[in-house]
Amino acid sequence: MNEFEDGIQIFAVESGELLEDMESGLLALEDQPGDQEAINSLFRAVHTIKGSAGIVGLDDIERFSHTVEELLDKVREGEIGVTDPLIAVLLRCRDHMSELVKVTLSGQVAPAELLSREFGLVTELREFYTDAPGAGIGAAAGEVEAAPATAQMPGDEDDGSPRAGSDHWHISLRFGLDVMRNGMDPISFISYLDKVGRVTSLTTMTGGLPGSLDAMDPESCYLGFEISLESDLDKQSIEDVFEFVRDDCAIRILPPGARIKSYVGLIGSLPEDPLRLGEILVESGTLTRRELEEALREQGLEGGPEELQAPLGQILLKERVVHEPVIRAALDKQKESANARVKERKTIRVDTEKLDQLINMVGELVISGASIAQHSKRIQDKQLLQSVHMMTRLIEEIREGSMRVRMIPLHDTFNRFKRVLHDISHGLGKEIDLIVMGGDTEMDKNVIERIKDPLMHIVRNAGDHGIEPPEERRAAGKPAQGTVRLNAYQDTSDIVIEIADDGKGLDREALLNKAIAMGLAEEGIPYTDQDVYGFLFAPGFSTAETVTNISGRGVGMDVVRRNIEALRGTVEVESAFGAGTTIRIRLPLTLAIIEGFLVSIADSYYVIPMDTVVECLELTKRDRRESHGRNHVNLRGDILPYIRLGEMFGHAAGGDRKRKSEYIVVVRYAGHVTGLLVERLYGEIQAVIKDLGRVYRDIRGLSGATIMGDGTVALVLDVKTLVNVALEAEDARYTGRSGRSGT
Amino acid sequence: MNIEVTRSDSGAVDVVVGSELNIYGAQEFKDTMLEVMGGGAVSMRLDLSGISEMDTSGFQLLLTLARKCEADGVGLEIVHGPATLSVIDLFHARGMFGLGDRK
Repeated sequence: MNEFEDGIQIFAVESGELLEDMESGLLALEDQPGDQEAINSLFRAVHTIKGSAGIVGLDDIERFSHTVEELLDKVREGEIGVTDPLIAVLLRCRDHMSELVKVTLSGQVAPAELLSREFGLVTELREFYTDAPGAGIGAAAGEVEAAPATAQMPGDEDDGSPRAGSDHWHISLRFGLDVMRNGMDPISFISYLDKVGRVTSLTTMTGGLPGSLDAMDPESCYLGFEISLESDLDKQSIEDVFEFVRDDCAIRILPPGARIKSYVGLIGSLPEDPLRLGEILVESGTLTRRELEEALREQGLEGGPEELQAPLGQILLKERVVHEPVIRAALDKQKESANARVKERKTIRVDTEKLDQLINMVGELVISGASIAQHSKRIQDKQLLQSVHMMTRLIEEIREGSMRVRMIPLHDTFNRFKRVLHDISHGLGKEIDLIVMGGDTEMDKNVIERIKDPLMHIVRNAGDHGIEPPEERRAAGKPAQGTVRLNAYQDTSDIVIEIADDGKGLDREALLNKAIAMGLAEEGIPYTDQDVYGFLFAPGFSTAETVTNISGRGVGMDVVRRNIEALRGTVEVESAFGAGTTIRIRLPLTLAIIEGFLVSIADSYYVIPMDTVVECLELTKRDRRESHGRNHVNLRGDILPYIRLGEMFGHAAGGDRKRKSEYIVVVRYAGHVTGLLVERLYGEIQAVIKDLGRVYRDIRGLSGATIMGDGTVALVLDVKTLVNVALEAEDARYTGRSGRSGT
Repeated sequence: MNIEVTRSDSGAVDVVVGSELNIYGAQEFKDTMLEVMGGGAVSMRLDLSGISEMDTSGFQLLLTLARKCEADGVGLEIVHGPATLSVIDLFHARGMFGLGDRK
């Protein structure tokens, strides 16, 4: 019973992914109806769902998938063209399949409306069969088909050579030595053939068996089979019977009526005596004796007419040497062609808890390694130092590698939004194009899980409220099709996700008025644009006049902002009334281990994230004199403001004037540059960032702490806030407004 | 796998296999057969009627044994059972074991 449940679980996860693939495949096909690769992968997705459903006994799903698969097969063959109505129906079929999976997995009985919807869909699908085949759209003619899973037989090309009159499939199997060691038995595959058709003839090839009992390995498989199979299935389905044994069995399948050349090629590629093989083909009714003789004669045609008359028995035979190397070679070639076709990423499923534990361990390893490095410097043993150096490098690589494991690219997440916008645009009669950039940007899987919904909401808003209907757009002089642009990139230690639309933008007036009406704002105060847009995030705030079906219900921008802030991120809004709106989300990379630059002030150590550091300079007495008491320094002709970190973090001011030298670490964040004044510089360290705990979390300028090799704690600086502090201080100086102080 | 071997003075060997003839006991079966053959058996009666399962491994062993006996002139009588026949029939291999067509 447990195994069964596991099977259902696996099916649930797999089918979820396959249904997603199906959706993106359909949307892609809408844009490019001639994309044969998309059609093929669409077919494969549905085909796999059907098969898996069958295995775990989910008959309803299997049955419906089969119906969809049949239609997709016709599309694949070019008999049905790819059109917008077809895509629309198929999208609904996909949704229905998703419903079916949900209902079936929850153990409920399918509700009546589900069944009637299915009936409706099936009827709609059927209509596509009666249409004339699409003229060339999606047709496979001339385009490359997915390469077969089994070795391509010579002679399958369209060369007009004679075909055999056979009405059955010929399947040739040569199992590799290891098939049973790998857990499979030919018996299962042979018996399964009865389920896909009628085996009219079967010959077990035992030539590979060693002659003596002691020479044979009881766990190796030496058998081969030549099989005639009557079946209505297509080649893919017959190939699929041997899906699990593809790596351990040389498989060749010839369809009914295959070219005679192909059979000759088959015989030539098998290790057994060609005569014997020829006899088998004749006895099984695959070839007539005459067909075989003629073909062989043609193949070996050389020289004079005497050869033409030579009967089969006198044809010179190539020596067949040992069985095994030939099989090995065939298997290798098979693997090659399979690999060449399948560009799928090889993945395995990993329990995220195990992964988190592993990453924690790596963190501990970094700390421990740093400690060892420290002690080894004391001991001054050259070989020890070398080994420690090597170890530190290896730890670094493990750290990077383990961080990367949890990062996944954003494009999968972004692609889901395509469907959302697609539905919105069709539902509201708008035309919306989604452009995705930076899909390769990677983020921690956990974080992605948590921003998916907020992002979805923002995208919906853009489509729902942002982009205007085509008439309105045209009247405003814009192209009828609106664009929503999703962009993601890394900016120093943050990941930035932007959702930009070229819709109607935010009406500052209306927003402010509403805010005043709601008591959130007061009349007469000169709010900045940012302030006004900020009201968007107030709970209960919604300027939509109509609450549409799609968005505006319950989940507000306030929830969005809360979710993002819970991840230590920020949301910014930029807008131009009439032109569009951009929402920018910044999320800190949750890499808990960073490259840092260690500095100190008095007895306290601070770590500055390495990727924010631009350069370091010494602040000489002369520099101090020249700045006239203001916190500036002349950096190659530019004025660089700096922050006295010592002051900011409450170190005693006294020692400053007497110090021989101080240093400024120049850091950059979001394009802004500022200096941090410190006393000592140490250099690069790897820092495992630990959270500061509730008490210290709100201190501006710190993003965590780290334990150094000798056990002392260093505080990790939050460069983003420090830069903001500097900017605010500048603002205050120039506008005379009192800016907030640095805490 | 349990194999019972009874040798008689005349060189006739009686082998009864209980449980199964499959990959798990294949090595043991092979070793036993080698022992029997090496011990100068003149004829062998191999009773497989009681086994519950035979797989490809067992099939191969059986076939190789049969051929070896033929080559060495050792008379081999196999008592078949449903487990052996189902595989033999699946492989259309009755002829290899001197069995007539299915009834």
